[in-house]
Amino acid sequence: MAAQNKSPLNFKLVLLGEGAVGKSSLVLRFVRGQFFDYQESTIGAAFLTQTVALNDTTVKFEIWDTAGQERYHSLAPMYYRGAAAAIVVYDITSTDSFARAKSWVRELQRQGNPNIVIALAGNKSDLASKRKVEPDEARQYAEENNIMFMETSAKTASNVNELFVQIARKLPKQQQQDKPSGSANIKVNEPKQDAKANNCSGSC
Amino acid sequence: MKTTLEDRVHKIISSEDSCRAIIEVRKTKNSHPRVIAVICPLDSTSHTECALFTFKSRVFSSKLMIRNIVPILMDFKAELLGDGQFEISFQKKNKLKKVGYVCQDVAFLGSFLQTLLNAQQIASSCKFDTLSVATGKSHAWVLARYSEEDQAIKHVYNIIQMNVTGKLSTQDGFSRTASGANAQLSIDPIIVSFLTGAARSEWIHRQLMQREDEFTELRPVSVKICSWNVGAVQGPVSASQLQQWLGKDNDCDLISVGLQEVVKLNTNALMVKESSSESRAWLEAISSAIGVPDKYMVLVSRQYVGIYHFLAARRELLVNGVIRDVQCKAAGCGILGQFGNKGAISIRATVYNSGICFVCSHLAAGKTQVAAESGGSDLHQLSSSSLSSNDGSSIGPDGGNYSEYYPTDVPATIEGHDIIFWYGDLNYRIEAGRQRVLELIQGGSLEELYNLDQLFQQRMEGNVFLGYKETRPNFLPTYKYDAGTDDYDTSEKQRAPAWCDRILWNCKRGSCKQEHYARHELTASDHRPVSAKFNLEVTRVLTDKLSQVGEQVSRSLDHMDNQCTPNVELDIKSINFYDVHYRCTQKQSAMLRNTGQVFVHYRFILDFLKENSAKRWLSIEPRYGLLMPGESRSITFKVRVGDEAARVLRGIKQELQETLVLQVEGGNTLFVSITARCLATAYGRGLDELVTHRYPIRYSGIHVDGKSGKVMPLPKEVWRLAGAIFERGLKDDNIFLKYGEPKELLEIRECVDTGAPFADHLAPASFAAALIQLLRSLPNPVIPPEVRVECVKQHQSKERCFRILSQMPPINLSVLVYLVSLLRELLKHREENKLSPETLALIFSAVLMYPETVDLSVDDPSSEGELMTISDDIEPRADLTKEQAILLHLLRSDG
Repeated sequence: MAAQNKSPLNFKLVLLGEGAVGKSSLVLRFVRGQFFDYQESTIGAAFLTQTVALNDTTVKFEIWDTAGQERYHSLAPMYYRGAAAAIVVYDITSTDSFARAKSWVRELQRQGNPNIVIALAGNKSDLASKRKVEPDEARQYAEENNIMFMETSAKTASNVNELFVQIARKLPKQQQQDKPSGSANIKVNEPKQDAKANNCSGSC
Repeated sequence: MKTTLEDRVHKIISSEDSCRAIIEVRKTKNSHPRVIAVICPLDSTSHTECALFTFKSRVFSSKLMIRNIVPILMDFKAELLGDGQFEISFQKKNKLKKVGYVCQDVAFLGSFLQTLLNAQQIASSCKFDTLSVATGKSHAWVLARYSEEDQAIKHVYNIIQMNVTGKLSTQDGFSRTASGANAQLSIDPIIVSFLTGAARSEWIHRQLMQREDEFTELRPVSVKICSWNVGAVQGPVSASQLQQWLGKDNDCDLISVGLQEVVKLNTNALMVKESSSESRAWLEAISSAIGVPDKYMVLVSRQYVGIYHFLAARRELLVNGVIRDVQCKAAGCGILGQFGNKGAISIRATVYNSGICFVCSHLAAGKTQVAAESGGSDLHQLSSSSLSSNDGSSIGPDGGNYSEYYPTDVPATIEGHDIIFWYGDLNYRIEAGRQRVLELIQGGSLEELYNLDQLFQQRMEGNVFLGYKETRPNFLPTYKYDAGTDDYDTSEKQRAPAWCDRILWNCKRGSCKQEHYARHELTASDHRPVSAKFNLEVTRVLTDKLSQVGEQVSRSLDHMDNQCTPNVELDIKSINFYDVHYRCTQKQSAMLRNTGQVFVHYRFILDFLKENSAKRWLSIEPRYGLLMPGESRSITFKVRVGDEAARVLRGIKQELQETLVLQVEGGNTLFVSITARCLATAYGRGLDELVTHRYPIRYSGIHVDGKSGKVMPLPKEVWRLAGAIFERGLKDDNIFLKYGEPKELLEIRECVDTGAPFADHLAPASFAAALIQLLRSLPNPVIPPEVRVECVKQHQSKERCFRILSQMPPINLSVLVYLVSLLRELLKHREENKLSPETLALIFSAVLMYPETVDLSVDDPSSEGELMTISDDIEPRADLTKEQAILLHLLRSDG
């Protein structure tokens, strides 16, 4: 067969953050290139896939866009469990959302997959006039916690693709190929820790 | 004159087609004879596309009729079963169809099956499959020429329909259908959603291949092929002579030189495989003749016994990285198929993005080649031999984004290449005697001579070099000369002259035009050297454009993936049950609709609920199931607080908020908020807890008097219910044996829980039922299990039973005493209420000391009805149980 059967590497990615910071908007911008001024709030978790072609490989993200409202907090582990990457989103016009983002990062570092790649995304960068969280503050926090950081705007598409591509680059590429792909199902009963073979933390 | 089978077939089939093999068969020994034949078109572009025709003889006529046409594809099989029986199998309507035949003429059968197998091997190497038929990429001639043969054509149509409608369902069906050439975006998403892993890659690959012209361009490449059987001449010939053959001022991009018999082929030589002074000398001579290293660079110089193969490329091409992945492999097919007296050296290279393969071979000589097709089998052996060699350089492909989907990898076999040159001393002779050949040569009848050429004949019959081309040599046979002269063999053997030295090519992608084909008058050997020049157009991938197209293709697949994500909608996002009463079922419904394009398997998950309590009071029907696209289903959410739930809920605030997870396999999840106000009730609580509440349970949250340490002698709920029976039911007919009214029961329970007075209309039987319900909702019975066990042991002794019972906890004892006094009072009115001590003992033994093993507190929130009284369950029994006996002691006692 002439075709090379290199299948893309599948990675589970979860979006976390307070309600209305723009998690769904980021995903929809990334996957469909769309943006809606009024985005219905997510009640549950939306599942989408998107491949990212890197120079040497193709990464397929299985994206879980979760509900941000606090009342659903207890259900979040269901989605970040086994995730290879997480985007923790806050709204640059809300200090509360930044504080919440920090607590998500803590929770992920404590209870998430030990090799999880975490990216902090300060969304709504188009609303510079209403800014409450300075990028330096967030960047410093990210550096201290060894996670990625980027300011994004789902509305203007600024840094959205870049964010996902950066994450894709950081993910370990020696994923076992025999692992069944397309496992969109959340595991309910057995909380298993998907220890990735490659010891690659947010710093590599 | 009797017509042959072949003539009869040729009368039926198109004049553009030829019959390659034919045989008369029967399905069984006694059935009518059929004729089956391997047919292929005559024209060179499609003559590899064979089909198996089945003909039926007409009655009273020698004329045949086409009955069936089966394209010979990759999956075609023919198997000899012995005794003249054989079986062919192929895919039909996506099933493996097998047809068995018997042939009486076993002598013909062998060669027929060989032809079939050859055709199948060609189909494999050309990758003919149902898809290629369906898309018209192969076997288009069948439809074009035989579409009137309605019976026959059905099979071909079946293939096409299957592929177009995408109804293939077997393991390979998905990938094939999904990658259908005309299937691009209109493809059924259900099928695409199964594309994962390798199938997905192949889909992208095939989509890219369809749009190849968007990201590729054709680049001209010139190639010179030179071949000479040097007959082991001692040392290379002079430089000027070499240049006469190889060309003086070469401008070709690639020059391939193949020599045969560079060493004497004695037994000793068979051992010397890799290198010799001869080959080194040839390398030097050829290099200097063509201008290495100024103009050309040597890519490969390789000897394999008698064969020497040399490939050089223009410097610029190498410097610019145009030529990559040069690999070389030698294969012997001489004695025992291993030794190298005959064989080939193949060199492959990727030029721009096309795979080009150069095969220099020295095949077995003699007429036997034709008879036994040994030349043919040599070729099969060689062309299917693996090329995955470890010698030669290998340079990785560009780091282009989608290049991995473009076949820049090295094909595994010779036949996998885009353009193949096959040349050397192929050793085919002319089918005529020496005298005749010489006459034709002298007469200048080269065309007639060529028609007698075995290679030409074998190729036309489709036995060898399928897909290869050769222009008719307009030069004299190159063999056999007396070395050093221009005379054909004058030795004793008097060999007939022949075109042993040939250059063939096979162009599968791109284009290849021969500019010249000539022999050269170098007389050192008994062969004359030959050369040919080709102008190729090969594919070059424009990496940037490939990335663009690749991203589009990938996005379209992602888009389909996401469209194929199972999706449901529930018409409500939250459910509020407001007031939930003990043992009162409440239901609410919601519509679940599959809004996606694929079937959905949904499931409500309760495991994530806080406190895990909702599992005890909430049920969902149906909790899981399958929904087809567009299908809706009504989901019923039901709450019912039973004893267990009441017990679990008693410590919790009454406002309950839970989130149900509605999970869709492979897709989104939805959260459904459930809100309920579970009204506090005395039911389900223990006696020791009840006595701490001085105020009605419903308000005990407000009056936190229970914590003051003061306890009541008797739960006020027992006291109130028993009191109501004292007041209203002593004379009631069959009280405790009648059903309570559900509505009244609810009302009574509400009064008990809220402290409201009982209304006058309430029937005594309802109070009795409410009392029994309360006693049975206790987590522990009034007479605790350990006490019951002791009493049962002593059940014959009234005194001992009393003694044991008197040592119960004071609350239990006072409840027991209070209840016994109520029962005794009832028995005083047995005239009216028709109760007997035995009946009451039976009922109350079950109420007051239900064993642990019978878990009466099990709540199934999905259960509908309400058990009215315990007497529903109690079957009167002739013999008294031990528990009943204990109760009877109590009822009959005066103490």
